[in-house]
Amino acid sequence: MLREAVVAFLLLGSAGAASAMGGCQDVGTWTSTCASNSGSQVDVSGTQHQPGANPRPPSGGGPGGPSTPRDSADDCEGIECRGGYAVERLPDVTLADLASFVPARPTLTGEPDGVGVVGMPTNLVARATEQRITGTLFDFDVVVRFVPTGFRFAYGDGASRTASTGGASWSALSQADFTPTPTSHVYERRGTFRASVTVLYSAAVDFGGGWRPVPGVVEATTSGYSIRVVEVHTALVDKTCIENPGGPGC
Amino acid sequence: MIIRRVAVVGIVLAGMLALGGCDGSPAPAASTPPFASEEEAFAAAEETYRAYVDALNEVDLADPETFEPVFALTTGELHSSDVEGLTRYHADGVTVSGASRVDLIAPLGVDDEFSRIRVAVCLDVSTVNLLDRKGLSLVDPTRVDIQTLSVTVERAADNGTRLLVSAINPREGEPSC
Repeated sequence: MLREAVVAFLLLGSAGAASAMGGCQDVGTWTSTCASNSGSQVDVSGTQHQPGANPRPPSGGGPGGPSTPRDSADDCEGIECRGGYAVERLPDVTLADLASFVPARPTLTGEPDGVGVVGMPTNLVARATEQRITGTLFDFDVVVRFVPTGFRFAYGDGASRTASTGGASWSALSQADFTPTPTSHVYERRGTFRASVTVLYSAAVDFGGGWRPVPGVVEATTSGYSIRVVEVHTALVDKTCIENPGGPGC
Repeated sequence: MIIRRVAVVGIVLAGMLALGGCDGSPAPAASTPPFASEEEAFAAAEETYRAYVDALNEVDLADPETFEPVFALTTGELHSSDVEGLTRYHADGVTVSGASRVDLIAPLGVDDEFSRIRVAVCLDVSTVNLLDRKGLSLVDPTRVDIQTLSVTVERAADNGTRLLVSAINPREGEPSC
């Protein structure tokens, strides 16, 4: 039996992807194609024709191995090869299959925990790691690799920032509290803000013959980190609040 | 005997085009429109984008001072990504050769206040090459020769007539490149 499989990578978007910007990040679009291809998952799909009625020329080098040149002996396997008979073949049966791969969502924390101060940096920290997810398409093992390449923070007050790292805590950075970090944000007004982070993963697919990059980025968003931003006022007083309940800040 | 033939026929992309493309920079406060007509606004946007491409063509990655004209013509996310990208190339000792050429610019849209103008661009990057320290090309072998782009140009935050390039997005449809 001859089977032909046609496999394609699909990078699919989803309606839920919080995609605030889809700009091409590549300076001057020098190194890669600027394509509308941000999505939330990688879909590897294939169609398979069997029995192979209409031999078609391969349209690309398959990762599943080099195409084997067919000789006449290979063709003469099914009933159609019996000499002297005209054989009418059944129509092609097409099997379509789909394997979907969705990267994990990042974690999002901040410091001070859940609180911020107007006019001072609030530090947000997102974590995402490289992931390899295995699956099977027809009989082929396929591995999809997601590598985080960017972190897009939306701070909830309309401001956003794209950073190459997810950031780190002030102590991990050996910085003093309330100092600016690559992922921090200064809120300009009081309120409760819901921050989110979208990780931009670059994806690659391996059928056993090496990694093949999937153009574009796959996005995974974590939202709902709530930050209560307060104003802090200092005052020099000469009595405690117990001694003077009407004093500043009491 | 089973002959299995796998043909990867292509990489199909069916992604969601992100809607905004230029989030993050606050819209300038309303004031009198700096342009008398859409044509004038588009002409100014074209001039700004061409200046941006010229500035990129003048970049010497070994000399960060040549980045300044690029930075001065950009805002928002594009500014951030250009700063990050050029700085990283400089740090990594990357060299760039060749030049981009604008093949086509056509109006796409403009808002009521003429503060945000979008133009369709076909940008020929076929001669551009980037080499890392080892002399290996950083250009994706699948990069197209002519990029099909939607370019957003906005009025600078100082509310003057100065325009800055704020986003470069992929584009589909007409005019095709």
